[in-house]
Amino acid sequence: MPVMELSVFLDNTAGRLCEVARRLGENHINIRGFSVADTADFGILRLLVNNPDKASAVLRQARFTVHEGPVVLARVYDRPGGFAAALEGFAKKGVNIDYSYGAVCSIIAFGVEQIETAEAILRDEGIQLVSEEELEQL
Amino acid sequence: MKEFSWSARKNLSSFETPGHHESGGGRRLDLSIHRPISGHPIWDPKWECTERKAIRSVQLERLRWTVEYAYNRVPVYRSKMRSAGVMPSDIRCLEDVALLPFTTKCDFRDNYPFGMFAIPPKELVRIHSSSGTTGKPTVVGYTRKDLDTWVELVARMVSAAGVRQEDVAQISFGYGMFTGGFGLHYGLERVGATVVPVSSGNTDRQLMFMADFGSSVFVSTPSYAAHIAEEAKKRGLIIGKDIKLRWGLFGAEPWTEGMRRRIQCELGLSATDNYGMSELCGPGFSGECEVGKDGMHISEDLFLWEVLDPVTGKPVLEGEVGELVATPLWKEALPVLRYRTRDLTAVTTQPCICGRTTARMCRVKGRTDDMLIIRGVNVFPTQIEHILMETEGTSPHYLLVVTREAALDTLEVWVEISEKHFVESRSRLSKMTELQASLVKKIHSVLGVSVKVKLVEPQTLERSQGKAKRVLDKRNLE
Repeated sequence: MPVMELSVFLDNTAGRLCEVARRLGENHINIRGFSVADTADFGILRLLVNNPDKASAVLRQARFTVHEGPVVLARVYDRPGGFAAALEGFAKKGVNIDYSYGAVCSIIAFGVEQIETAEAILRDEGIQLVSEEELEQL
Repeated sequence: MKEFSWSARKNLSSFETPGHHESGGGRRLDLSIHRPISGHPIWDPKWECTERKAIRSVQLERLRWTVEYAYNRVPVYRSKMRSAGVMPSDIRCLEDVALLPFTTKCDFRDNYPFGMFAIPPKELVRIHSSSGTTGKPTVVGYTRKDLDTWVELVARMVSAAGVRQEDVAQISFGYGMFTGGFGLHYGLERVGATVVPVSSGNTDRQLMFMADFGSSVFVSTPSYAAHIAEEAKKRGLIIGKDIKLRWGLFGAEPWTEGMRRRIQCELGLSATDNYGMSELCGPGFSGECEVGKDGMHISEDLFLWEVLDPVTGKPVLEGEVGELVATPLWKEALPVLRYRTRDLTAVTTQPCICGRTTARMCRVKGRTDDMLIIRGVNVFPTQIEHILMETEGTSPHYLLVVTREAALDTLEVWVEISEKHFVESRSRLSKMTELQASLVKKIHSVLGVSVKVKLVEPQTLERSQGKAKRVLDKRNLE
C-alpha cells in the first residue's frame, strides 16, 4: 500500500516554495508532509497531500515540473529507538534509503539565517512558536 | 580558427542518414538516376549547375561593373577607394578584390539614411532596414530590377530546401522593415507556393493556421521552431496528423546540427539552414539543399565571397573558418563592396551530391562580435549549445551569464532541465547533480574553461519570438 508522493523541481529563488504552498492552499489541498532537498541553484520539494491527483494537476497547470511516485509511509513509535527499529530492518536486508522525512505533523522547522527576524514574522502572522521545553513535552 | 574542418564528403551510400529517415515521410530517393536527382528540381540550373570556370568569368565581369558603378555613383566608395589608392581599372582578375577597401555596418550608420545609395531615394521602389538595437538602423533599398533579382535568389533557395508549387508556406518571420518576412514571401510566391503571411509571434494563431490550413512549409528562426514544437506538444497536437509540415526553412540566427535533429524529430519535417543579411539584400545569399544538407549553396553568379582571418584580414585556406566577406555583383540601388558580415563560417567549392556546382558555406559558427572572451579563452555560444544538444536531460533553451567576480570572469550556463529527465530519474537529487557535474566536465573538456552550470525549471528562460537572446553579459554593468 504505497502512497503517492509528488516531487517538484524548484529554482532556488525567493517565493518559489511559497508559490507551491499557496496554489495548493487556494485549491483546498492539505499538505500532510513535505521535505526540501536543495543545492545552491535548485531544490526538489517532496509533498504528501490529501488529494495527489488534484494537487498534481494544479501544479502542472501552474507550469511546475512534477513527478509522481510511490513512497512507503510508516508509523514508527514516538519514543527513543522508534525510528531505529524501522531502519534496522532495512539495514539488515541491504535496502538503501534514497531519502526520508517525517510527515503528518504541523510543527515545522525552518532553517534560516536570521532566526530572530523569522520568529518575529511568524509571531506577526499569529503563528505559534514552539520552544525546546514544549517540544520535549509534546 | 582551426577547430572546424569541412565534414567528410558524403557519398551516395552514406546518403540514407538518420536525419533523412526522420524527415522522410515516405519519400524515396531514386539513387539510380544521375544528377540532378529526380524529384528534386533545381530552380535555375543555368546558374546553379554551371561549370566553376564559367561562374568565375561572369563574376569578374560583374565585379568590374559593380566597382565602377559604386565608384562613379557613391561618394563614400569613391573616397574610400581613393584613400586605399585603388581605381576601378585596377580590378583585372577576381583576386584583385583584395585591393578594395572593406565596407562595415559602421559605414551604413555613418551615412544614415541614404548616403550609401547609388540612386536618388525617389527612384527606390522599396526600403527595408535592420533593427537598430545598437545605434542607428541600417537602411537598405531596392530598384525594381534589384527586387526581381532578390526574388529569384530566394526562389532558388526555397526550391533547394524542398519547396514546390503545391506547398502551403507559413511565414513566421516578422513582416515590416526586417527583410526576412517580405524576402521569403515573394520568393515563395514566385515558386508558386501558397503563402500564409502569419508574421512573427502569437503562437496560438500560428498553430491554429498550421493545423487548419495544412501548412507544409514553416519559415522561422530555429529557436522559434523549437518553441513551436514544444507548444504543439503541450496542446496535444499530433505530428503527421494535425501538423503536416514537410519542410522547415530556418535562418536569421546561428544553430547547430543537434538542434536540427531535435527540430526535425519533433516537428516531423526536413529542416534546412539559410543565410542572408539586409546589407547584402536580405535572405537569399545562401541556403542548404535538402538533398545534401551539407552546407549552404551560395548564388555565386550574384555574389563574390571571401573568407578572411578576422584579425589580419587575409584569406584563410579553403575549408577553414574565418569571417565571411561578401560583394553583391548585381545591385543598382545600393552597391556594396566587400561587406564584413562578422559571421564566422567556412566555404568549400567541392561539388554537392544535389548536382549544384556552387560553393557551399557551413552553418554560421558564431559572430566575431558575439565571441565571448572568458579568462582569455574564446567561447562561442554555439559551442555550448552543441554540448547541451548532445546531452540527455536538458532542453534546447539556455542562457549564458557572464559576471566578473573579483576581477575574474565567470561564465554561468543556465539550462532548463527536461521534464522527461526529471520524471525518468524518479526525481532523485543525485541524478540532477550528476547531470550538472557531467555538463561542467564536458564543457571544460571542449572549451578549456571552467563554467558553472545552473539547472533551472523548464519553461522559465525567456522564449524569443525572433532572434534568441543567448548571452547576458553583466560585466559592463558592475
